[in-house]
Amino acid sequence: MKEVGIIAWAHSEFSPRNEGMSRNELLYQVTKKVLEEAGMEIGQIDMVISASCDTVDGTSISNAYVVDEMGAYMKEESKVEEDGAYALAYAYYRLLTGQYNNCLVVSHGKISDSAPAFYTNMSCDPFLLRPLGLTGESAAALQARVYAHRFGATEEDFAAVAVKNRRLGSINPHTQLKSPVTLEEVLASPVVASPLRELTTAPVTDGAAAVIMATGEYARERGKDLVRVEGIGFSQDLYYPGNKDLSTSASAKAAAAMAYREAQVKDPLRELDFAEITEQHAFYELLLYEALGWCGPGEGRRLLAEGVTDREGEFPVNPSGGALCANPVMSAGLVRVVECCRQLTGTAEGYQLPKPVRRALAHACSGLFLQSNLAIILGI
Amino acid sequence: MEIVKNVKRTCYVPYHWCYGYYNTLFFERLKEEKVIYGSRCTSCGKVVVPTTAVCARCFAPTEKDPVPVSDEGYIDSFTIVYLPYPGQPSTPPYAYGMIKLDGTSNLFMHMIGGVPLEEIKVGMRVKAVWNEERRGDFYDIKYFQPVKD
Repeated sequence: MKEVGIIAWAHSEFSPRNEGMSRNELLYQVTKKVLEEAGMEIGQIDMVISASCDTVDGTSISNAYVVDEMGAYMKEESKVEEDGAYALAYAYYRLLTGQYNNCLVVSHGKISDSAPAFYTNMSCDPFLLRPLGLTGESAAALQARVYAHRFGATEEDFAAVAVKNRRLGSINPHTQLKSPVTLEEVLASPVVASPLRELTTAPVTDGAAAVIMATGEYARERGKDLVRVEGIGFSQDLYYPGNKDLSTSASAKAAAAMAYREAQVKDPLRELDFAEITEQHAFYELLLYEALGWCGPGEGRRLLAEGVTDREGEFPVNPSGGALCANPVMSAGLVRVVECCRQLTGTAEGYQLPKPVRRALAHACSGLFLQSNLAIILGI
Repeated sequence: MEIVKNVKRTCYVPYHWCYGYYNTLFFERLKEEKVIYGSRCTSCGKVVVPTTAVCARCFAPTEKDPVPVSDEGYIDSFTIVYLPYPGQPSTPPYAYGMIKLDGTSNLFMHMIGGVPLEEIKVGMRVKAVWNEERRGDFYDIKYFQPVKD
């Protein structure tokens, strides 16, 4: 099969409210930055695939208004209304056709222009879930309770994830929350929706991210190193939360299985060196250790407690600090890819993993109750 | 002089969402009969609430006639919401949960009320409290209230 990968990456600064820039300016900045990283001019880009959300932007067809800033003028451009990592998957399959040499993938979200709760509530059906006032937080809270009840996990177990990721984030110069937190601080932070607390929930983040993907031939011709996409898998679960087992994520399992199959990974914990996952809530990380096949059901907290997934562990998870340190809406998953690329190319300055790394998994998700999941295997 | 940095606007978009056959069945019977209805899958035979055209797992059609189910069950999961945000159904704190209604094989989500919030537990028996003024919508059931076993 054709070789396809990533030759350049960039993301904006992350902040809870980027008052100084419009979404268009944010996008122009990140697009210029990624082109500069690649040493390319916009005219050399074959196509653009963008990711944004109409509700977040308050604009139908949210890509139309930002086409100029993403350099899509007179190019083939299409949008996914999902995290930017899904746009990357779309670009990957297009590049595999052999019709194109490269693709600019770009995502943006200025969630502070509106409110996260409004955006997640609007994603609910109007008859059964929206009248509850269900939001990302309260949906995750219900799932956290199911997970805790099923496996005897406690608030302390969830808090321990936040402590690890905030500690790792504290040495990542690119992230938003750069201060470590203690277990006591996490457990004393205000309850958002029980059993979730402010510090076990991702922050509000404005941001944008971009990568340039290319075929192996194109990268070699230009003397660019390629972070190869070795496998991609994605899957959707059922919509209505009452119809599925919330103690796990069947779609995360299926997505991982599909990606492992393509990348010929049989034992992920041994064959992969680390992972970056979208843990917008601390308990997601434990649940995803299990769903992504790194331990058995309910064993996530053991993996964490044994230090396996810490910076010095045999399988570090979220060495960047993850989404608990910066959660740019529509870009959180693509930023996981960027963080994998930094580690794989030895350019994670200040937070480079101590062990050599050659192969990683990046995870993105979309929808309430971890409805949709995406897994990408990257290698050098 | 204050620097103008943003513009405040609201998107007002009125909708008239069609219930369709199965939602009409469900909400009309809440209103007229004070009875919760589900649908039986023609393939796996399981009853799910609310009424629906398709069994989510089997992708098989459900039986045309809806199945009345109990308005009692137990709490499988719940959350107490403390976060205030626009468009909430009431002022926080309030609770909602996933309820296993007797005779059904999935969970129904609704508010939990009529009880001090700190007393809500997983496994607690609950029963629907009906609104006397019903309009054929979600809040024809006010909430589910804990009952003695």
